[in-house]
Amino acid sequence: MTAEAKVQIAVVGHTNTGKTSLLRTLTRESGFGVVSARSASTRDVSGVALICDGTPALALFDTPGLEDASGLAEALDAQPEAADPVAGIEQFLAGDHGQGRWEQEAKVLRQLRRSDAALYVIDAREPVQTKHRDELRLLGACGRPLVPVLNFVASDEADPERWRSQLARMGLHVQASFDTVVYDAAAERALFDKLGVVLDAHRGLLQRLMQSREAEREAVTLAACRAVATMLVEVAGQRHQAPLHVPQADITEALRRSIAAAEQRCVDAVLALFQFDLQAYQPPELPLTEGRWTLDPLDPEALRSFGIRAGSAAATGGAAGVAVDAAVGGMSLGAATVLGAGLGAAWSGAQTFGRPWLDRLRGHQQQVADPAILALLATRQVALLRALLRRGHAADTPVQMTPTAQGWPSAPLRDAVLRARHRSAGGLAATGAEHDTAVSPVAHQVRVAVGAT
Amino acid sequence: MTGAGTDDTPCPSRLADRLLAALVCVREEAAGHPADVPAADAAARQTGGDFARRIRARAAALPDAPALRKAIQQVLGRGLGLLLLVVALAGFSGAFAAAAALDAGPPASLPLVLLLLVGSNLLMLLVWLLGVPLSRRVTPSLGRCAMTLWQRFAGGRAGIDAGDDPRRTVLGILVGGASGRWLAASLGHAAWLSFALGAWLSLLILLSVRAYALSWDTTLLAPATVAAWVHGLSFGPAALGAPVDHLFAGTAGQTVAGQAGAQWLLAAALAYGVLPRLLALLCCGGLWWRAQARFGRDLQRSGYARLRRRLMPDRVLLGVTDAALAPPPAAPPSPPEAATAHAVPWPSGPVLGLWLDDAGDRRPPALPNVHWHGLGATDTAAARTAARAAVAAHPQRPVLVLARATMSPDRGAERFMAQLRSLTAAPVQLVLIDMDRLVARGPAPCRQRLADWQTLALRAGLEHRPLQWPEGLA
Repeated sequence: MTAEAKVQIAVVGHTNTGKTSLLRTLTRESGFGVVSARSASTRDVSGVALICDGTPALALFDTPGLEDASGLAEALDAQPEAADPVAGIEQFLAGDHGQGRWEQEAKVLRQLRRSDAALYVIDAREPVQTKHRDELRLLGACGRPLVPVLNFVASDEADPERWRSQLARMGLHVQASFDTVVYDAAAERALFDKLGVVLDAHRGLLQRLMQSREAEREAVTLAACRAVATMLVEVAGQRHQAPLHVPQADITEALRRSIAAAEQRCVDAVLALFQFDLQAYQPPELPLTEGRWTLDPLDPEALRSFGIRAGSAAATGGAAGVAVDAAVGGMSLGAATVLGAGLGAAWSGAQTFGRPWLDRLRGHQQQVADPAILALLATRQVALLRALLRRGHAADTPVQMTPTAQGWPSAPLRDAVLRARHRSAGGLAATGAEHDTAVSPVAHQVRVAVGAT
Repeated sequence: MTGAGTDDTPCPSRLADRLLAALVCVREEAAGHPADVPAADAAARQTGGDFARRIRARAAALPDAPALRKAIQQVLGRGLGLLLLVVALAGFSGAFAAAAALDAGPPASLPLVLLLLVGSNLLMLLVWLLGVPLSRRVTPSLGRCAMTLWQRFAGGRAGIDAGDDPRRTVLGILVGGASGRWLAASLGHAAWLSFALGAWLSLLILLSVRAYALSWDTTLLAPATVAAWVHGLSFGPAALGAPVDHLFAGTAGQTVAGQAGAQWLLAAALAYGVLPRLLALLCCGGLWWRAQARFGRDLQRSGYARLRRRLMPDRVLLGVTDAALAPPPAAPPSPPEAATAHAVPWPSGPVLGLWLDDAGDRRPPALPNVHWHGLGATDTAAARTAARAAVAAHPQRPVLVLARATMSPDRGAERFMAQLRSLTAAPVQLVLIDMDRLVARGPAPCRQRLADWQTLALRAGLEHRPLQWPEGLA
């Protein structure tokens, strides 16, 4: 598979600068390699190939950190082949690597010689040191293009401008910035563009790869919005029924558990879609103290639903009546038509307003989720989506969010959810009409609320 | 209805495949995660093609796919049976209505016959057409009633009430969304078409074998008005070749409809009863066909989207291509607590001080009774050589190695400190500075970094001195 990848890139740099983290974020593979705050956590060379159009296009190789480049550079300078840097590197690689003293550095140089180019990862929080210059001189001797990548640029400690200036002095004008913890799609595109600059023969391939990755990310984002929308519509349509003698607190607790489970399923789906650890986010307890007895009769959404249902039900009832008239040879003189229309309207009205009271008369009570709960769920899930879209796969801390907004993420999302509540009342079919008519508008509004990726 | 077709011409086997994929999707969404069946994933990847195709291939390769297919066939088979039943009942109903209308005489009123057999049909069609814009919101309808019967018929009471019955899920897929909407409409049109055909056949047979007295007369409308109506409605029968002239013959004050009138009636029942319903059925059937083709293709659903990485991987791990030859050096044992408590004290008097890396213009930290003899930064090979020479020249002077706490402890620094240690008999100690910047990175990285420095100092053989632990981290 290695040989099949058209472009091979070595990821190199001083120890503990975030090389493995860069690979994790670029490949969306949070389980790749070992990421640790301690140095020399990577000791092998390992690779991952990015696939474009079904074939491996770009192979990225994680390498151990350079820890003693100054010592090695001094040793190489003393070699007779110092005038030809590449020959010096080849001779070093063919030897015993300073009796094993520079074994780690040898792996880096060997991989770089096998690759088309290298990403030189820099911890931008560190000051520019002589050891970095020695490393760049050593890597440059391999005869492969180097693209410095400034990592941790989102940190307050970072001084990227100083780094850029120093790198330019060393002749490295094609540079990139990329924070492996705080994901930035524009920075990723810029990184591939910079690679395209130094690998002109593969620029088209790199652009196609980038387009493919962007399309895939948008598909994942849409799927995540859809999962959130499905959860919101499901919760909005839930009706918890119980006999009258059951304490209201018990029904509230059942409703709370049901809503919490739905939200957790949604979170699991979203994290899995973005390929993050399922433990990265745990939704806090819902502040659900009481549900709601029934739909508010003055709720404009309820009235709108009533109007629509009454009209359609009357038409359907009337139509059924005409069929009865026809079957009896028209002898009922259309009375069935009128009767059917009236029954249809009454049936629809009873469904919307009379059902809860009928339930009470029959010894039942029911609760639904309050709009405030729906607002909280929507706000939290939209905030989660926004956080995940800005989260690199190297981040190892849980997603922390304390939503402060009490309202909805947006008014159109609120309207879409409340409208869907009436369509999904009584339960959302797993694949049914509601997925077209109720979930899709909500998913669209969630996508709008989440914003650009 | 048999055999495999192309993507553009769905057939039952393809419908079953799509239903199977949708069924698996619903089940896995309810479970919260896709089933972990590597063999099925591998089969899907082996199949190749687009994502939807791989999803269908994976569903077909799941271990319980045969059982699910059986449930799908059961639902489809019973649905077909129900359709035939509804069509048969509607056909008999049409035949009965035609017979009843003809027997309402003598003489049988042609306007009444037409109104009952065609008028109600057209009126229902008009109502349906008016309801199409609202059809996304309409819940109850004739077709829906039929499909509710289908649910009972296909699943049985116990099956419907069992939430995990695949038949229930298959029905949910079929009767939901656009598929359900157009399927319900198709069922309604099929029933009305059967009604119209039954009525037409009944008229044809009865008018062929019996002699009916047919009349155009009505109680309220004048013969001229009726004639104008009939003339207005004659374009349909005329298009079918029925005679439209000489329809009215007066006898004893009555407008009798003879053989020409009977032919006109048959043609009108065909033109206004059968053909519109046939057209509507074809349209709705086509729309349902298009809707059902989307089963298993709604790739944004989390049940499908979560499979993307498995079935269409965007990366492949290449594994270790150059393995480390030796395990990482083991950390020397930590000094016992007693040693920590009695660590070497700070040196006093003249002290050789050097920075592990370039500290710029920074001065060494002020320590009590320490007189610094600065050796500067040792971040180049030449500077380190000079530092080693200076240390070797003053073997009795203690050495303090200054390092930024945020710097990564590496083998180069360890080797250099070990060399210093070997060159002098005096204590060599490590001093970390910029602890506040390390602390700002959080407790866990801070604790880890301090431990790494401590380990490195021990490996280099430096005099043990507990590093400057921040408050709360010790």
